[in-house]
Amino acid sequence: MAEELLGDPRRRRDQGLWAPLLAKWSELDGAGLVAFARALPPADRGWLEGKAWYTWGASNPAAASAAGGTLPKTCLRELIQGMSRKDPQAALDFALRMPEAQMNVWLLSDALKALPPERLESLLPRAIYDGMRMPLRAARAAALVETDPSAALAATSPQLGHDGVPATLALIAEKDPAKARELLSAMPSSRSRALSSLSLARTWAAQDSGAALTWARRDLQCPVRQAALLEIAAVSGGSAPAEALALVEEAGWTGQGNFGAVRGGNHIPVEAAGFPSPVKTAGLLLQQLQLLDAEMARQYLRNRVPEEYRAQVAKKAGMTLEP
Amino acid sequence: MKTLPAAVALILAAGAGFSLGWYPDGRGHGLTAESPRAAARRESPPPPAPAPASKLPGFALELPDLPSADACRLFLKELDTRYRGRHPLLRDTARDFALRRWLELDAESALAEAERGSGSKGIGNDLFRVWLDLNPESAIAAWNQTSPALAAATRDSFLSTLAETDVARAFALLSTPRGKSGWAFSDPAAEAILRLWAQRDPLAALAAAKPPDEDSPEGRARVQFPRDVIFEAWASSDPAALFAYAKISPNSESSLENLAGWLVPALLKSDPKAAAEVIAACADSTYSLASKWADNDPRSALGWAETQPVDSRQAQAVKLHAARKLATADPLRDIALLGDCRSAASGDQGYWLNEGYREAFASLSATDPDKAREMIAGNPDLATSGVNGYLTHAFAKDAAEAIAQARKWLEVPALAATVVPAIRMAYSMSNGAPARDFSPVLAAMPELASRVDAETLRGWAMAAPESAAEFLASREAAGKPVAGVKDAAVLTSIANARPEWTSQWLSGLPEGLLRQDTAEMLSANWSAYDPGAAKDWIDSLPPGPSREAAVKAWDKRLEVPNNPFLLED
Repeated sequence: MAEELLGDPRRRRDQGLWAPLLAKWSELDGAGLVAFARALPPADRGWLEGKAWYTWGASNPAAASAAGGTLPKTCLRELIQGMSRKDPQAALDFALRMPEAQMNVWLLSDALKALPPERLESLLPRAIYDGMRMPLRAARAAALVETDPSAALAATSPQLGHDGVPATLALIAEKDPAKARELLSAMPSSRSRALSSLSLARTWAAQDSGAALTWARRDLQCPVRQAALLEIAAVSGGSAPAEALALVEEAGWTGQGNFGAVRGGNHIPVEAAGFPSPVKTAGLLLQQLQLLDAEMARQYLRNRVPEEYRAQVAKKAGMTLEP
Repeated sequence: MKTLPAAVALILAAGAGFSLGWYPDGRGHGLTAESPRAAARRESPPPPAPAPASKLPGFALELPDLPSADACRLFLKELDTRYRGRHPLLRDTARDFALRRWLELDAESALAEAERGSGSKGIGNDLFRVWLDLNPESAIAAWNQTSPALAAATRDSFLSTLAETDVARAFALLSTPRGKSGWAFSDPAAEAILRLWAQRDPLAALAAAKPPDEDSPEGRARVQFPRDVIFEAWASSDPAALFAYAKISPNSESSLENLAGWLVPALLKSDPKAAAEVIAACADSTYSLASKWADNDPRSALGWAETQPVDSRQAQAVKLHAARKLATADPLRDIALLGDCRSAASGDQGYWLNEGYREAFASLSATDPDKAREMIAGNPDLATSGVNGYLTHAFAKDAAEAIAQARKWLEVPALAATVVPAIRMAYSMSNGAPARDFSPVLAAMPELASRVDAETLRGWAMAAPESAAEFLASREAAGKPVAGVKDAAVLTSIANARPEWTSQWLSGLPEGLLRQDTAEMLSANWSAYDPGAAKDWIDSLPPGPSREAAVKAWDKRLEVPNNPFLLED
C-alpha cells in the first residue's frame, strides 16, 4: 500500500492516508517500516524516514528507542518526539542518554507537563544551559498553575532575556481570567507586571473581548493601557477589523513607551520583537479590511490615519499611498 | 456511531465539494453591513455523502456523525478521552477529520473558535493545516482575514505547511505584511521553506534567497543564514550534486571547506572517495568541518576520527566537537574522548574542550558524585575542569552542600586555586548560571566578597535584586565598587524587578557613580511602563548629578533602543 501511495502523484504526500497506514504498520512491524523508509530514494526517504521513526516511537517507545540509539540528529529528534506522545517519562530518559542531551529536553517542552512536579524539580540542577532549563521551568509552572496559581507565579522569576512571569500569568488567565486579574493587581510596579498586563489582555480578549476591554480601560494606565488596547485589537479584530481599528485610534497613534525593550547593557529581550505598536497593528488590520472592502480601507487610510503615520501604516498594510 | 476507515473519511471530506472561497476576490459589504465572514456560513456546502465501503481494511477508526459545528467542537473536546489508548497518529487523524468537517459545515465558526483559543490550547495551527490541505487558496485568504494575533501565532506553521505543496508561493508570502518576520537573522518559517525547496530545487532556492542588498554588510550577514539552511538540506538530499557544485563554484560560501561539515557525513554513505577528497580539502581549516559534522551526526564524526592517526589535528578537532555532544549523556566516555584531544585544543578549541569537561563533570556530579570526586582527586590534568563542572551542578542543587565541598577542596593544595574561579563560573551568566543568588555563598564565605564581579551580579540581580543591590552598596561604602555593573545590566535588572524599592534604596546611596548610574537606569526603564510613578520619584530627588541623570533619561523615555536582531519597520 505504501508503494501504491508513493506511486500516485495525487496521494504520495496525503497525510490523511499515511497517518493510519503508518500507525498500523508501526504497531505491527516498526522495524520493517523503518527499513522500508530507509530503502527509498533520497527524495522520499527524506520525507518518510523521520515520520517512520516518529510513528514507531509513538507505538512502541521501548523497541524504537532500542533500535534508534545511533540515529543522526534529524531522525533522533523525530523519535524522541514520537516517544513523548506515548510515554513522556521514557522519552525524557532516552533524550538524556542521547547526544546533545540538554537540547533534547527542549524538544519535550509540551510533554514535560505530563511529568510529576518533583521529577521536574529534581532535573533542574542538571540544566547547565537554558535549552534544558527553560522547558523544565515552564513545565513546573504549568503544573503549579493547576493546583496553586499564586505559587506558580511566585516560582517564576523575571529574566532579562525572557521574562517567564507573563507566560505563567497567561496560563492562569486561560483557566480563570478573574484570578489572573487579582494576582496581577497584587504585583508591585515592575516590568514583569507591565508585560503580564499585556498577556492577560491577550488571553482574556480571546475569551471575552468585552470584559478584557472594560478591565483595560478601567484598571490600566498609559503606556501599559495603550499596549493592552493594541493587544486586544489584534486578538479581537478577526471578524470586525473596523472595530479593532477604532481601538487603535483609542490607544493613540503615538507610542507612549516601549517596555518590551530594556535600557542598559547589551540585553535584547525576546519581548522586544513582539511589542505592539499602533502602526503595525493598524497596518495588519487595514490589510485585512482591504480584502473585505478595498474602498473603505483606502478611505480609512486617507481620512483616519494621521498624515505623519500614513506612509508607515500603508507600508505595513501592503497598500499603495495615493498621491 | 459508524465505523469509517479514517483515511477514507478524510478523502471524503476533501472531495465533498469544499469550495468556500474565503473571499479571494476581496469582496466586502462595508463596515456596518453583515460581516462577510458571516456570509461564508450561508454559502457552506451541504454535508458530505455517506461513506463508501472501506478501502483500507484493518485501519478502522470509529468516527461519529458530526451534523453541526457544535458537534465538532464537542468531539474535539472529548477526543483524547474517546480515543485513549489508540495510536497518537490515529488521534491526530480523528482530530483532522473533525476540523475538516467543521470547515465544511461552518468555516466562519471554526475560524472564530481558533481566534478564541490563541493561547496554549488553540486549534489554529491544526485548523489551517487541514484548511491548506483542502483548499490552499481559501486557506490563504482566510489566514489573511483572520485576526492579526492568530495570524502571527500560526505564521510559522502555516507557511511551513503551505511549502509542502507550493514552496514558491510560501516563499512569496514571506514578503507580505502577515508573512514578514520581525527577526533579522533567524526565521523558522523561512528555514522550513528553504529546506524543502533545497531538497527539490536547490539552485532555485539559492536564487530566491539572494537578497537585493547582498553586497552590503547587512545583506551579507542576512544571506548567510538562508544559504546555510539550503546547503545543509542539499547535502542531505543530494550530496553528489552539491559536491559537484562546490568544486566549480567561485564563491567562498559554497567552497568545499565551508560545506565539508554537511557534505562529509552524507558522502561517507554514498561516495567515500569523494568524502575523503572533501576532508583533504579542509586540512588547513578544521573548525567548520568539525563543528558542523559533529552537530549533524556526532557518532559518524567520532567513528571517522577513531580511525585516523592519533596525532592528526584534524581528527582531534572532529573528535573534540563530537565528544562534547555526549557530555551530559555519557560523561565518562566524554571525559575519556576529550583526553585524546588536548593537544589540538588551542585558542577557540580550548574553550570548547573546557566546556565539554565542565558539562561532563556536572553530569557526573549529578549521577555519580563519588566517581566525580575520585576522578578530580586522582588526575591533576582534570582538576580545574572537574572542579568547575562539579561545583556548577552542586551549587544549582544545594548551595550548603556545595559550600561544604568547596571548603574541603580549599584545603587540598593541588585544588585550592581552582575553587574560587569554579564558584564564580557556577554563578556566571555567560556560562549558563545554573545558580544565581550568591548571598548564601557570601554568608558562608565572606572572604569571597572581593571576588564578586559584574558577571556574577548579573544572575544574582535577577534572582534576588534586593540582596544584590545591598551588596553593591556595601562594596561602594567600603571604597571597593564593583566595576562594569551598568554595562552588565545589573542595575537594569534591579530597577526593572523592584522599581519602587530601588528608588528608596537609591536615596540611601551617597552621591557618586553607582547612585547616578542607578538613577539613570531606573528612570530610563521605569518611565517606559510606569511614567507617573517614575516622574513622582524624579521630582522627589534633590538637585545634583543623580537627578540630572534621571531627568536626562526621562527625556529619552520614548526612544526605543536599537535592536540589531529586529528588522526595521
